[in-house]
Amino acid sequence: MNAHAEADHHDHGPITDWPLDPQMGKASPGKIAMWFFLLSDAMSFGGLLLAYAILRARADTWVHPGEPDEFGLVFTGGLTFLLILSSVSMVLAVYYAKAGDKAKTTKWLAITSLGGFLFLCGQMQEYFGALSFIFGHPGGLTGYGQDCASEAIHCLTFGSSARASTFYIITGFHGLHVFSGTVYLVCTLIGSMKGKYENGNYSPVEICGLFWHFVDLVWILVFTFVYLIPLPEAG
Amino acid sequence: MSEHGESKKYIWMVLIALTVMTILELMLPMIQGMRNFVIFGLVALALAKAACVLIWYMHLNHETKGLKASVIYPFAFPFLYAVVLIAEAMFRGGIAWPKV
Repeated sequence: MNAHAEADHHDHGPITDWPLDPQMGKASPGKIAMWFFLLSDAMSFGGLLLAYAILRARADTWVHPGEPDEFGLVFTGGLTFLLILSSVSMVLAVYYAKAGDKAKTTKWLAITSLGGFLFLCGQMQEYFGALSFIFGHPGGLTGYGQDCASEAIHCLTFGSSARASTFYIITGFHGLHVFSGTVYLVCTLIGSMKGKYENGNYSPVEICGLFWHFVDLVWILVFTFVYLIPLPEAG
Repeated sequence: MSEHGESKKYIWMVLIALTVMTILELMLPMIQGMRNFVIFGLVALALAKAACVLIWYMHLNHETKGLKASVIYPFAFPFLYAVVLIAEAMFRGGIAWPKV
């Protein structure tokens, strides 16, 4: 590449170095925008969790007859750990993107996308028993395809109680974030395979990472409030 | 790569911390007869885990004071809102402590 072509390439390449701002430092506009989007998203989750807390605190009967007592803590604990691991692979992807290592960035982005996909599969198992041939619990929490009228089968039906509705709205809204996060990750993965994030232009990977970590962060809180807070002991 | 001088060690340290806290979270509800303590412990662990992700994985520790403040201060609003609404629910319902 001659000097002129190199200068030309430089002129039209992505902007990778922002002027030093007194408040925001060298953070790119995209990164600041993602932070503000995440804040507004946190308000949505905050609202849903608050509604859940108030409904639960004031309920005379929280667990209605015919509903499961708990939501399968060991399985969901596994999903939590899966999401934490995918956060780790995302940090590694950003690390290698900063270092300009295209092959390793692509590899870790692919592993992170796989983590998101597996989490969605896990949620399908939790809701509908889609993987009941591996994990058991056919029908999942909704009792899909099962006879919910029978006393032996416990079903959590959307709309039948405050507990069921808040459960599906909160975990479903989070699942939607995992879905969009996985699509976002796959788009970033394709960009990485095309070599878009070389030459110091790692910011898109970093911004994608922010979204993905946020999905993990929210799940940490949802897991505690929706799954782990125990019911009062009988008597 | 190593010429960038950034260590990866913190990634594994945070992973270990998150794993240990997740195991503790799954074990805490096994304690019988101390429900308030269990709930307090669970919420504290969840906030600690969320802080770990926010500070080290989202690299908030690398940002300027201005960006840190713009992120952290708005997060205080849902908590304030929660305190007000729960206090109001307890006042109207006459609940000494959440029933469920």
